[in-house]
This record gives sequence, C-alpha cells and structure tokens, in this order.
Amino acid sequence: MLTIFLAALFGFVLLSVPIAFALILTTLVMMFFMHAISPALLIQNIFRGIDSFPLMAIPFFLLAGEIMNVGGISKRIVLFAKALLGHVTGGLGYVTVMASMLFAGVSGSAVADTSAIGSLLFPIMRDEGYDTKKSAALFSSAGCIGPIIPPSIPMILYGVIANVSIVKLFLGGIVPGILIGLGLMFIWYLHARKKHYRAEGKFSFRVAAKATVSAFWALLLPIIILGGIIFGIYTPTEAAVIAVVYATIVSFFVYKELKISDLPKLLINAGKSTAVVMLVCGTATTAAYLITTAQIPALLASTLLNLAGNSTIILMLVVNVLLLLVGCVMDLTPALLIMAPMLLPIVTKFGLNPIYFGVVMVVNLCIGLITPPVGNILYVGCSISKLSIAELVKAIIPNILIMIAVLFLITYVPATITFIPNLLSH
Amino acid sequence: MEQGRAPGGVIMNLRNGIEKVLNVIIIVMFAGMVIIVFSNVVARYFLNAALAWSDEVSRFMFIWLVFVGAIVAYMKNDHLGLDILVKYLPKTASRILVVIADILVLFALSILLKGGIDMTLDSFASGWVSSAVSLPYGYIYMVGPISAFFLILEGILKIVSDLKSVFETRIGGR
Repeated sequence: MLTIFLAALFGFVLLSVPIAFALILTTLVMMFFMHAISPALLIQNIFRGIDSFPLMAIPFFLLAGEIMNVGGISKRIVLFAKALLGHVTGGLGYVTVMASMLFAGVSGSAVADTSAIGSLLFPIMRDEGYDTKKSAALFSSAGCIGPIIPPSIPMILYGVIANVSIVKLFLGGIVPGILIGLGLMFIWYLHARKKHYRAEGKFSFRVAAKATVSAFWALLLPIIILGGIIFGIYTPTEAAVIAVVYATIVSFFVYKELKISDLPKLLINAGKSTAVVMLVCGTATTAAYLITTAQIPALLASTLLNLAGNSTIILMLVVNVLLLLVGCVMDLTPALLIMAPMLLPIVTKFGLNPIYFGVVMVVNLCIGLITPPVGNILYVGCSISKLSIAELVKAIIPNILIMIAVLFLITYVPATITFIPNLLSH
Repeated sequence: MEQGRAPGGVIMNLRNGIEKVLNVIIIVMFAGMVIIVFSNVVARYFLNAALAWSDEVSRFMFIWLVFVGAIVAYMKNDHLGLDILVKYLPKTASRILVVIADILVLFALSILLKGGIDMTLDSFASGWVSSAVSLPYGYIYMVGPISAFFLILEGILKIVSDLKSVFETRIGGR
C-alpha cells in the first residue's frame, strides 16, 4: 500500500497535476485498492482538514504580511537594521540577515519574508557593488528563517495535525532561527573578507536614533505578537488578527502609506494564498485519513526500525536525510502535510518529543525551499535578482551547507529546541 | 498565451464577470473574519464577555474563503505544482502531458462535485444545524460543490486552450 501511495502521488505530481488535485487522485487510487470508494467521505475529510480555528491564523498572518509591505512597515524594519549594521564591512549583508530575522518575528511565511526583504535590499546591494549572486543567495536563504522564528505557518499546520501546542512549537523555533541567522552571517563574513568590501560610512548615533524612532511602531509589532502568545494572553489566531488590525492602523494613520483603496487587492491576494495552502491542507487530510486506515505508518515504521535498530540517533539521521530529499522535490507545505502524519507515529513510538520533532521537521523542510530542483524561494530569489536558477544555486551552496549543519546541531542537541518551551511552560 | 486561452469573446467576458463576483465574495468573507475575530478579542479582554457565535461564524466564513479562493487561484494558475517534466520534455510531448494532467484534474473535480452534492443534500435532509447560531450545515458544505462546479468550468476552458496549443505545435512545428 505504501508503494501504491508513493507511486500514485509522485506519478500524478510528475505529470504536472497540481499537488492538491494529485492528493485527491491518490486518495481515490487508494480507495480503489481498498475497495472503499466514497466521494462523500473524500470531501468530508477535506472539510475536516480546513474547519479549524487555529488554522485561521494562516490567512491573518498572510494578510498582515501583505499590509506591512504596502504600508511601509517592512521598509522601516530594513532602515532600522541598516542604521545599526550598515557601517560594518560588508554591512548590507548583515543588514539583510538581521532584517529577515526581525521580519520573521511578524511573518510566518518564507515567501513573504524573502520577497519583502529581498526586493527592498537587493537593489541597494547591487547598486553599491556587492556581488549580485552572493547577495541574492544571502537574502534567499535568510528568507527561510521566516517560518522558523515565530510566528510560523508550517508550525501552525504541524501543531494542528500532531495535536500539540502551537505556542510551544513557536517557542522551540526561536533558538534554531537565531542559529541559522548567525550561521548565514558567518558565511557572509567569509565572503566579505575575501572580496575586501570597504566599510561604508561611519556609525552615526543621530541616524540610528532617527531610524529607531521611525521604526518604533514597526518594531513593536513582533513584541506584541510574540509577547502576547508567549505569556498566554491570546492564542496564535488572535495574535494574528491583532497583527492585521495593528498593521492596518500603523500603516494608515502613522506611516500614511496605506490607502483604503489598497485593501480589496490585499484581501484578494492573501485570500488566494490562503486558499492555495488550505486546499493542500484539506486534501492532505483526506490522504492522511487513508494513509492511517491503510496502516502505512506501521509499514514505514518497520522499515525504519530495520534501518535504525533501536537507535534514535540513526533514526533521526535517516528521517532527516529522507526529509531533505523530499524537500528537494516538494514544496514545504505539501511535504509537511504528507510526511508528518506518516512519521509522527514512528517518532513518538521511539519516545521522541513531538514538539522537538516538529521543529526539526520544519527547519529541515525550510532548507528544502532553497534546494534544487524545486524550491519556492529559489524562484522568488531569481525573480527579484533576475539571475538564472543555475547561477543562484551555485552561489547558495555554502548557505545550504551551514543550514544543514545547524539542522544536525539542533537534531542532536535537542535542548536547543526544548529549552525555551520548557522554561516558559506553565 | 493569453489569447490562446480565449475560446470566444462571450465566454471570456462571462469568465471575467465570474472572477469579479468571486473576488467580492473573498473580500467579504475575509474582511468579515477579521472583524468578527478581532471583535471577539476586544469583547473578551476589555468587556469580559466572549461572543459565543464568533468562533463558529468565522470558521464558516473561512471555509467559504478557502473554497472560493481555490477557484480564483486556479484561474490564475497559482496552485502549487511541479513542472520539471513539462519543462524538460520536447514541446509536443510536454503539451500532450499538460492535457493529460488537465483531464486528470477534471476527473478529480467531478468526483469532488459528486461527493459535495451528496454531502450537502444529506446534511440538508438530516436537518443538522450548527450549535451556536443554528445554521443548517448544508449552507456551509454547499460551497464544496459550488467550488467544484466552477473549477470544472475553468478546467474545461483550460483543456480547450491546451488542446489548441497541441495542434498548433503539430501543424506549425517547432
């Protein structure tokens, strides 16, 4: 049954059937082999996969991101990072990483992070004579921090599937996100040293103070979102809707860059992105229902058990390699939604913490966003930088390697993930 | 490519009209969700009175948003998919492959339509209503078959235009 599932899914996907529809077809194939074809059961499970209050955080975070880009909030975040780090040698590279990390604190999506920061900073870096390929590689890989530092759309999805606390998953992503940011800065440092970039200007307290004041309302947003979630004042969904209202008010009244006439377009854009993610979520729920009924996790478990023996170290190695391979050919959302229901029963059987596993999985599949041949962020990076995929891929390899190094660090030192959630769990 | 997708002026006008209506539904549902969920936050923390219906109504609007948004996303070719094989195959082969994929999608959608109609009629017949606002579930599930219906219409337009380009390459060569 596992073979049928995989052959059908990859067959349909390779034929260029969109993944949501490929999942429906795969479910039908499995129903056929199990002699239990039921169109009503199929759509019923799609509804079940969508009808959830926690998942409503996804449209709200997507909408907040759209508003921040149009309303000047993203721009203030970039200018703030530039005033602090712009004067160091190769400074704009560190600015890119820092701005991506700050933006990750308000956005839960890598595409939003990459397009916001990349489209603001890449033209400046190019004009100031930075290596275009390395700059594009940097903002693309830094954008992958978006769903690792909370809030995080993939973690919301995982939390709902695995029925674990989304807040704890969010908290677990903080240290891995910072580690990846530092790793990327280190790679950039090596590059900047080799290229002998000159330092531009001096640190000016006046400029820094001005940028901080101007960015004050923008910087308050991650504090409002994360602070409220961490201290249990409101749920992630409520935090997301607060982010929408707050971003609208600040963009409209303080920065005066958002017009009422912009709102319909932003709602439609975010609504469409929501539908794309949620349709995969719904159809993956149907597929997952059949995966469970067909006892595929048990089959997979015995295969992995043979490979790993009783060693969680080998198990996590196998799982990580498997997920990295899946990430090469599949986008983050579908990969997460398809693989999580299969792997979760196995790792819990091995006694691993589902929060820990969720964070590892999200970090792993985020790397998949920049690994060829299929990587959504590679496409975003290419469209912003006008480079070819091949040029960008070549330049991004060191960044991928450092991210894999961080992945294995957090995998084998679980405290990096679990420390903060344990500290703050009441 | 755009004129390749135009089987006729009337149909395209109709399609644009449908898209506009769908966009309005998206805006209304999404804005409604924001207003309802935010009002509930305000009511709970500042007035100490949670709105019992807010969770349910906003979830129903979310479901409508997703299913209606899925149609517009399909119209704009926004759904996640893989096009490696299509990119690397010769033109004629890849265009034939696209038509096969279109037909498969259409098949999936017709099953969805069938299942959706069954489910909607069943829930209307059973008189099953939601707990907080007593809305018959049929009105929520209805969006499934409605969405499938418009996706099928769009799928047929896609097949027509993709078939056209298959024949164009066969006649015109590469």
